Amino acid sequence: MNDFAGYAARRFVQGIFIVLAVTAILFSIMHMMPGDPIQLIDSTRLDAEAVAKLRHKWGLDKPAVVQYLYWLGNLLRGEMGHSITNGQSVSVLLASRLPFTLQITLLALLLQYLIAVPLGLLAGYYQGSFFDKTVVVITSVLRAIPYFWLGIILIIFFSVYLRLLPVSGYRGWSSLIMPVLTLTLPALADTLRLTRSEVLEVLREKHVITAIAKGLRQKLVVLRHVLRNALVPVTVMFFLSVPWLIGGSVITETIFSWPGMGRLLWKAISAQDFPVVQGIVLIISMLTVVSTTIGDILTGILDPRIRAELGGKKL
Amino acid sequence: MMKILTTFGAACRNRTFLVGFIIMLSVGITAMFASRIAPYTFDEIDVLNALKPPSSQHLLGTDHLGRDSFSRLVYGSQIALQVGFIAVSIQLLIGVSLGLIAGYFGGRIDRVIVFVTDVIWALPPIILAIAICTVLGPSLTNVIIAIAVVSWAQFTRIVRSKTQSLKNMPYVEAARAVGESDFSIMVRYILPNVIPVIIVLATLALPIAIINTTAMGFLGLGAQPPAPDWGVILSESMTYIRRAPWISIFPGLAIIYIVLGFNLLGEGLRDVLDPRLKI
Repeated sequence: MNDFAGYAARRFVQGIFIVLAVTAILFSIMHMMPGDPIQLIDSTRLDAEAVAKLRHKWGLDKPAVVQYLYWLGNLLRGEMGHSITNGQSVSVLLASRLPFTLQITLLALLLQYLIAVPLGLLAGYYQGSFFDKTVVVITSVLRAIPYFWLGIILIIFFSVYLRLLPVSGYRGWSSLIMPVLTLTLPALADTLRLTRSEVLEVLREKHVITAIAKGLRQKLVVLRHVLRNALVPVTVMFFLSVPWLIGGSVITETIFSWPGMGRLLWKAISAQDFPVVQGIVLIISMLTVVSTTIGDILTGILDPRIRAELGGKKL
Repeated sequence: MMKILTTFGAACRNRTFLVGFIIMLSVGITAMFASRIAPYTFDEIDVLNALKPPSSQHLLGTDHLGRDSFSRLVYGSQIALQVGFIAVSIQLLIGVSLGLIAGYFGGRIDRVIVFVTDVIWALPPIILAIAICTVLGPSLTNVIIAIAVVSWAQFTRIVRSKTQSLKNMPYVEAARAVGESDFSIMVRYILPNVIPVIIVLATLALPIAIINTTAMGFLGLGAQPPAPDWGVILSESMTYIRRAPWISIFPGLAIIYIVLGFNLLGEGLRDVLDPRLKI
């Protein structure tokens, strides 16, 4: 168990370095862009002197490395800087946008698992049945659907054809339906497939065969032995899929003009608004590192065989 | 050569592979003979016939400039295949060589490579791709570069772990004892045993590359109009979603068809080549 704590600590330190590297890479990419944010705001109305003043004010006249260190120093003091485009504090901006993104991504995750796990369990248990074959075909097609096209099709169906839902923006709970469905459906297929294949694998294991041979009731075997073991990788997948959902939210939020972090990021990158981009990337990379670490550690806790391996092996 | 043929024979008995193979064959033929199949060229403007629904003259209708949607889709298949193959080849080149080096040498080089792959892994690919395309400027070539740069890490991970388990095999020890160089051992003794996994991974990476390319085209960062890129067609169609919804529907179906084909092909290959592989 001691080795296990050591492993968790190592992962934590490693995670900090990964977040630092990710923000540094994005920072350098942003600095390689031609032009600078001041020009993009209103270069025509400002004379050279005013531009120079503004550049100095935002520290844009200093080398990129110095700017990055400034940003890092401010971050340690809990200060994320201000948006160059409109002067708003980045932390306030993010605090107002993050809930919108979390709202659709968490709902999508919840919906995805509520549908995928039971269906995957049934499909795996009744392998080869008509139900199973239908599920496999449907998930194959679902997996091939691009997010952005699904969004457009939902708009055509629900807003243009049925006139039931608002096309875009945030107008109460009915606005949630289409963005959440857009994020849920393609991801659902992967989770369902994973649950199904894990169930198939567990069903072949000796302790399950023994349990069935002992004459335990089928339902009990499924719930106690099969589901519990099959859910280990599915749980891990849950944590690993968080960053992918956030990536998907960039496009989904753009289609539905959803006032979340993804659309903010898309806008900030095109306006070269460094502080905002850095803030969002910081949050996304932290979320990713935290969720993958939790995923890995959970695997160790839920599956003792892997914990034994972790103790000895360097990761 | 014989081995490839027998593997192909075995693969054809796998229904998943066969369906995927037939789909991809049809896409390949469409791309190759695009100029014969398409009744119009992809940029033939006919403003008088703009936004017409599907008819006998225009099988899938026309877009806002009166261009034939069917012809644009047919020509678009060339872009999709081209981008997919080039992007995945670059991914393979970076991913496989780093994986071989990390797994074979271990130690400090291994730690550095693993750290770099972890960093790439920690960013949703679409975000890094958006940033890279904004720096390089929107064009199809730059999208290919961006997509290659953001998604080679999976190859490194798998090839690294396979190499680690292979490098202590007796036949590799023997090669080392005979005095083979490190490079020769990696390329001639270890790589051939990793190839089945690489083929499966690459087949499954192709559709992802295609979806990402169309996504970038959709955001306006990829191929530029009048290119018949499926993502570009979709983003142009958004404006006419009320008047001409058919323009939006068909490019998506084309993407699903090609992605489904590659996925089935990859899953079939996995079942034949390495059934224990979990992807």
